[in-house]
This record gives sequence, structure tokens and C-alpha cells, in this order.
Amino acid sequence: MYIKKLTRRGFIKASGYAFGALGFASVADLIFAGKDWSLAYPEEVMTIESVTHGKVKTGDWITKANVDLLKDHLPVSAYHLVKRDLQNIKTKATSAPHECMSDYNFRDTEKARGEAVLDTKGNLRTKNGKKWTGGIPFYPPKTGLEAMWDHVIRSKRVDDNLNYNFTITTLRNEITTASFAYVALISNVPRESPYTTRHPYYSGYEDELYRILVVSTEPYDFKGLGSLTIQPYDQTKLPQLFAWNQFARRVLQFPTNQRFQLLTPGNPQYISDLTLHNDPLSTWDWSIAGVTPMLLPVNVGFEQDKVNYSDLAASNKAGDKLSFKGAVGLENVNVQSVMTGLWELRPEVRIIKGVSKDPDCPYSYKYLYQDNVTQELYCYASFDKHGTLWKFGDFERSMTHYVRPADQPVKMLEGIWPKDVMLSFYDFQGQTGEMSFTRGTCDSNLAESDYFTTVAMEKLVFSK
Amino acid sequence: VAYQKGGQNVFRRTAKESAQIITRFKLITSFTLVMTCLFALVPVSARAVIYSGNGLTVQGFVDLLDNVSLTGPNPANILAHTVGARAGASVNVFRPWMRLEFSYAPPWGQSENFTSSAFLRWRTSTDWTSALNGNLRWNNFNAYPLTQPSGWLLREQQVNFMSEMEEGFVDLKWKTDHLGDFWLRLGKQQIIWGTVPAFRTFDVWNPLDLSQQLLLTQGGQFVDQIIIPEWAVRATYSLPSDWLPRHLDQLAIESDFNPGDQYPQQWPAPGAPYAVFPSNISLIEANMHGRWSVGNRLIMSFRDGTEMDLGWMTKPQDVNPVPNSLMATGTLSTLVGNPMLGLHLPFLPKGKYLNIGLLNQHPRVWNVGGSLNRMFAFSGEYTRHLTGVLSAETLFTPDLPMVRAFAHPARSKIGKPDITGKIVRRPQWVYTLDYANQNYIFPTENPLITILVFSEQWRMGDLQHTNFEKGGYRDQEFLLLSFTQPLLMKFLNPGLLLIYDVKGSYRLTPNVSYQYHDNWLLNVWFDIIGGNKGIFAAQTPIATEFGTEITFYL
Repeated sequence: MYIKKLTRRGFIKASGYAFGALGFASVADLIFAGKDWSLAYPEEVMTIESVTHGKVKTGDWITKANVDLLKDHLPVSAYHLVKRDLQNIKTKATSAPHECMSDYNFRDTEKARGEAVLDTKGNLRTKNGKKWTGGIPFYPPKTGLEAMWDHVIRSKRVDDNLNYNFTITTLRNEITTASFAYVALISNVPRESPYTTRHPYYSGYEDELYRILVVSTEPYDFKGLGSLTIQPYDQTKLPQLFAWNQFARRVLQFPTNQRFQLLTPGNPQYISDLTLHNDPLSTWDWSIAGVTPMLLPVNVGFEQDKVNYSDLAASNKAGDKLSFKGAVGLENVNVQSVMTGLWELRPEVRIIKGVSKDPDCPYSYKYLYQDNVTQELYCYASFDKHGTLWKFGDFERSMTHYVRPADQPVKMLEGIWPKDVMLSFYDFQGQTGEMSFTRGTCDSNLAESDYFTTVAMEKLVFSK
Repeated sequence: VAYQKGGQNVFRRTAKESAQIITRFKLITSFTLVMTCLFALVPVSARAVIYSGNGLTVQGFVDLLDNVSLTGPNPANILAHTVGARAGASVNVFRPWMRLEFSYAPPWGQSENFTSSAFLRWRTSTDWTSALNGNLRWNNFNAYPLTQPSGWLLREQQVNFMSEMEEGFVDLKWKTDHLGDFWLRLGKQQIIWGTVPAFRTFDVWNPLDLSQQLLLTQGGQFVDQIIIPEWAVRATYSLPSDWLPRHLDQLAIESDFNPGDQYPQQWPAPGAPYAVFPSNISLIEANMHGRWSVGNRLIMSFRDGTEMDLGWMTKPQDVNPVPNSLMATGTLSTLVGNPMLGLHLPFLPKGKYLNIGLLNQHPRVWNVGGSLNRMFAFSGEYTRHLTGVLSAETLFTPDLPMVRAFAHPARSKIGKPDITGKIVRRPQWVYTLDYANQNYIFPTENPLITILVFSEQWRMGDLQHTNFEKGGYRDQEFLLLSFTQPLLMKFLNPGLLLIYDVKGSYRLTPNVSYQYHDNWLLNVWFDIIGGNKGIFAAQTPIATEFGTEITFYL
């Protein structure tokens, strides 16, 4: 595994004290002070030219021919896909923090800085023992568990309900074998946004982290099939699972080990793989396997004015266009460019290793790739019980909310590529979504009682 | 309908009538063939939506259902000279049908506090049933019988063609900031209560249409296709979450009203492949009209995942217990020799027919019941394999109608064509326990799904001389065991279903489904039925079969 050859990780680790001695401040200090964040890192890790000794330049394509030059600086998923000529990556310049994370998220994080502690059960608390009140808790995290709390508290994104329309097309030898479309609705319970006047937690839902509902809308035999996951705040507890069975016309409860079942036919993701990791933290052992400069799809750079969402939806419906090859750049934004979107060199990427403690889990361990500025996960790679690489995926994203005025609707464009390397299934999962919220409501008109309860699911027979 | 006169089935037709039917049959055949060919030309990579835009979505499928009997003729049809008239004339049921679904959310009139949408589902079906030896007179039975006028169902039917508005309703929803949500569904719809799909213990609002498929499809997974949707009003009021106690996640009150035309359960017509009554018997099951069915349900969901429903309703009894009785006691096959069958022979007086079962009355009953489901998680080295969800349902009917003296020697004199009886009321209690569990038994990507269900019906009081008396019919117990092992990323799903009637009969159904591309779904199954007592005993000679079902999603 190339993990063992993390040259940049070694570089940073070995040089950490030296940086401090030389006056490198932490990236968090610089961001919160409003200073140039790049001062936190040496110039050698800030550009693709530096890490490849000039062999790859910003704006170049990474293809099968030159991918080995960046093997140490690509997640497992991207390296395998490019190596197999299934994906091309176009590089772009590194985004500044405020281009990939919202201002209010930074403000809340700064406000809560130093407040986060882990209790004896490994749950996130404030120093006075209360539930977390908002912002990224550990900035930066020092342990694997802290890093995963940064993920599950979901301080990322827009801190609110999301309404996705996304399609999954399973490709086998680049032939469409099945396609599905869903409405995915995520109710984030903690809130940091200044656009809401509510308490950080939904009233009555203080004991939960979030709820995820995935509803199939096509093809017809899966239409209406919906699964609801309720993730408790106490990460030593197992999540609850409910599903609307469209044939029996009722909501059924499922055993919690159903989270290790494929979400739908052809989709290599388990329910516990949603949002890259949707499993209780206490059922895994977390550690930081390495820190290195790495290319990640942090902000694939879509500009709101240039994205034609109706064209995208039309392209998504045409299975024969869903090729990873022949990607084009931003000048012609379409599905191909989404899936080959712009990746950039991130100077400090944390590789989190999770070893499963649940004997029912089909994985032995997994790697998750987390950027040190946004504290978001962008890629994952899971290994089977024999330690063989099994599944991986990228989470490419771009949102316009970072720089939008408060009263403007937010548009987002995200692509998840879950793949099953053992079965040679290569999946495209492009997400196109449009979300809007206005000052004071901040809930996209998606209340819990509309979607995230079993009573509500009975009425979602034909929702789309 | 040409062959129903005076409420009786008449199997003789004039030459003109036959010519009309044959012409219609040819038209339908041609239409279906052409449509099937057209659909097959659609590129397989197309998405399974016919149209989507302006708030309107159209979806649907064409389904080809094929059952080949492995047991030969149906004894109930011997006298009809129709299906299986000769020994060994196995029946090949071939039924193409199509469903189209329209859902519409109008772009106007919607607001944050009010939403509306409309839904319409239309189905068209034809029946090409034939005998493998070519001996079947296909038009000698009614493939789509209804025992009362079909206008209320918005259904047009002929001998082997049926088209109806299966479901059609409007949803309206009002949200308030502090007073909860109110939801209303108006129209022809299915109202489903309870959480256990098997045996429908608490799910008693809508009757079943078994005229096409006496047994449920494999695993009952498409049970929504045989439930008869009825006109009803369904309203739900959900209390705001901040009104609820801490341990309660949601609390909703549901009210249901059916304005009065409740259909009874439909059986296969005499002469049809799955007929349970001898061809000479005309079963008249017209329900009493104009009486409302009313019910309420309390839906509670707790923070620990426990779900509980409590409900009551009053409605006409839609299940006629006589066929159950016949099958349970194994008397169906022996009915062939019953002198009552001579009623329709020409030399006997005409104008009388059999009022069996609930005497064409379907009296109103009360039902009180509930359902409960809860997950049990274990973490021990071995006990973790027991992790699963326990579901329980119960239904108590204090006044279940049953016919007294159907078998009473003083009432059922041979030669008296008008068999009358008296309806008596007795309490009945039904409960069902369901445990769903899954474990990695085989080295596959998905766990083996195991479902174990036990259900018992218990009737109380004096059952002497009632139709529940014979064969120890006071109690009835069923055991259901289902295994499903998803393979190939869930595209291939082999399974095994066993339903065992403790009285001494069983149904064993190995099955496999395979999804191919976006649009094709193939189901293959065997129905192996055996035993000589209990619910499946009478079906042994007619329903052991090999089945395939090919579905093309439009």
C-alpha cells in the first residue's frame, strides 16, 4: 500500500517542530486572525508543481500516463480509477479557506474553539458537560476519534436540511445496467447558521445527531421505497432503521444490522456508507494513519451562473453519456465535467483509519481522507475481512453558498462515486440539487414531520 | 355481462355473443402484442419514467404472468367442461397486464403551509389462459368476475379483458407552526394498518381480489396488486413534537371513512383455473350498500424505536367464511358428488340459487386491534445473531358473523334448493407474531434475511352447527418461514417461502427474482402445495404450479 510511503506525511511530521521554531503558525490561528492561511505551510506543499518537482503543473490533466507521479498524493479511489483509464482529473489552484467553507461556519468554530472534549464514552461534550452547541468541535483534531466527530457533527455544508435529487447508474464494462433516482433528505440537528433563530437543536430531538431518508423514485419497481436512519447523539448506541415498503404499503422496522446491506440493487454503498461514514463511532477504532499533501475535490469550482441544472438533469437521464472518459473543463459544464471535476492540492490532508469492532461489519478497516481546513471527508476506501481493497469512493462537491448573499438561494452540485473494485462495478452517482432557504427559516421547508418520521413516510408514496 | 343472467352464471352463449367475444379477443390480443413490441423497442438504457415535467410524472409497466399447473385439471371445473375437462389437461395461465401511474403536484396553490398533489393509477389486463393440450375453451369462464356492479370501482370488464382506475386520490396537507399538521387523502385508495404484511391481521380495511390469483404471489411481495382499493376519506392529525412527552417521537390520530360501498372478498369465478366452487354453483356475494365504514387509529412512535398502533373500526364483514370452511375441512373435492350440484340441471326447478356463507348479507362487524414493533439488539458473541425486530399484531372481533345450520341436517335437505340459514355472532381473536432477523450465513455481500411468523385465530362461544364447527375449526394456526439471500449486488434474489397450516397442509415456494438493466424484472417460482387438512388441502389439486413473471418497466 502506498500509505506506507507517505513521503509528505513524513516530511510534515519530521518538520513539525522545525516549522514551529521557524514561526509557522497553525492554520486555524491564521484563518481566525484573518491572515494569509498559506503562511502555515511551507511553499513546497502548496502547489502541484512543488510536490511533483515541476512535472505536473496546475491546470494539467492527470491521466493514466502521468498518474504515477502523484501516486502518493491521490486517494486510493482516484489513483485506481485514473490508472484504469476510467477517470481523468483536471488540476486547479488551491482554494483559499473562504472559498470552500462558509463564513458563519468559521465564526461559529472560532467562537467554540477549545470548548470540545470527549467524555469517557467517547461522546462529544462541551467543557461543562453539555451537548455540542455548534461549529467544528476540534479544529484541528488531534486523534482519529476527534477527527470523526468533526465529520458526524455535520458542521459542514449548510448546517441544515438538504434536499437532493440524485441518480445512480451502475456501470459494468461501461454499460448501464441499472439506474436509480432518489430524493435524499438530511436533517441536521445541530445548527450553526446565523440565518436561523432556532436553538441549535430541534426541539424534542436533542438526543439525535441527524436523520437520513432516501426515497427511490425510479425505476418503477423501486418507486417509493424509502429508508430512514435515525442516528443517536450517543455514539455508543446503534441507529434505528425504518423503511417504507411500497408493495406492502407500510413502514417496516428493520434490525440495526441492516445498515450493512446495500442501499439498493447495484449501489455498492451500504446504508452505513452514506455520507462516507454513517455508522456509530464507538463500533470502530479510530486513528490517524498519516498526514500528507494530497489532491482532493474540495471545491470543483462550479460557478452558479454557468451551471445549467436542467441540462444536467437531462444529461443524467441519458445513460450513454455517463462516461468517465472524454471529460471537458468548466467551459462546458456537464455531467462529464462534474465527474472529472477540478481537484486541487491540499497542503494537509489527514488519512483517518477506522478498524471495525463489529463482527457483523463486512469491512475490516477503512480509510477516510479529511482536509485540515474544512475538516470534511472527501474520499473513502474500505477493505474486506482479508484486508483486500474492496470499495472506495470520492465525494466531489461544490456549493455556491460560501459567497452568496444571505437571501439568495443556494445551489449545490455534488458527485459521489462509490465503486466496488472486486466486482468490477464502477458506479456513477451524480447529485444535482437545488436548495433554497431564507433568513430566519433556514429549513428548506423540509420539516421533520414532513419526511423524517414513520407517519410522514406513509404519505411519501410518490414524492419526488 | 352476457353470461350472467338473473344473477346466475350461464355458460351457453348464442353464436352472436360468441362472435363478439372472439372479435374482442382478437382486438385485445393484437393490441397487447403491438404494445409489447413497441415497449421492447425502447432502448434499455432509458430511464424508467415515461414523462416527467410540469409537476406531472408518468410511470408504469407491462407485466406478463405465466403459471403452468403441475397437477392437471381442477376438480371443481369438471362439470363445466371448461378448464381441465379432460384428464391431464393442465392449465397454462397467461396474463399480460399493464399499469400506468400518474402523479401530479400542481405548480400553483402551493405554499409553505399548504401542499396538494394528485395521484392516479390505471391498469388494464387481459387473460389468455389456455390448456397445455389445447383443450381449453378459453371463453367459458369469466376471468374478471365481480359479484356486484363494477361502476363504483370505475371498472370496465369483459370476459377476458378488464380496465379500471385502480387508485385515484388527492392529497392535501396543512401545516401550522404550533398546532401540528393535518393531512387528508380523498379518493379511491388502499388504507393499510399494521406493520406485519403476512396474514393481514390488523390490515382489514380493504378486501382482497383473489379472482386472478388464488394464492398471493411469491412472498406476497406484490400484495398491493390484489388489494381492492375503495373510495374513502383518510385524515391524519399529527401533534406538534413539542407537545409530546420526552419519550414520544410522534403521535398522530387517523380517521377513516368509507361512504358505504364496501366490496366483499372476490373469489375466482366458476370455471376459472383456480375456481374453488364447482362450476354449477353461483356464488352471490352482493354486499349491502349505503352503510358507512368508520374507523380511527392512534399512531405512536417512541424514542427507543418502538412503534405502536391502536385502532377500531366498524364495517361489513368482507370475508365469506364458507370457502375457508370448505377448504379447511377438505370438503371441496368431495363436493363434486354433492346432490346440491344438481340444482342447475335442466330437470330441476329454476330460479333459485344458493345463498351460502353470510347469506348475501355481509353483516356489519366491530374490530378492535393494534400493532407493536420493537427492535431487540444483542451484543454477545452468539446472541448477536438473534438481533432482530419483533412485530406483533392483534385483532378482536366481538361479533364475527357465522352461518348456523349450513350443515345442519334439518336445514340442508336434499331437494330443497333454497338453503337458508341463520347468522349468529361469536367473538374471534387473532394475533400474529413476526420476527425479522438477518445474518451473514453465506460468504456474500448481503446478509441472509430470515422472517419467522406465527399467527393464530381463535373463535369463542358455542360453534355448534356453524360453518366453523367442522374439522376443529375453532382455532387455526399458521407458521410462515421466509429466507431471502440477495446476491450480485441485490440484482439476484433467491428465496424460499414456507407457510404451514398446523392442521396439516403447507405451501412451499422456492423463488428467484432477477433484475436486468433498468427495465426488466424476472420472477420464477414453484408453488408446491401438499397435505390433506387445513387451509391448503383443497388447493392441492389445483394450485401446485410453476410460475414466471416478466415485468417490463416503461
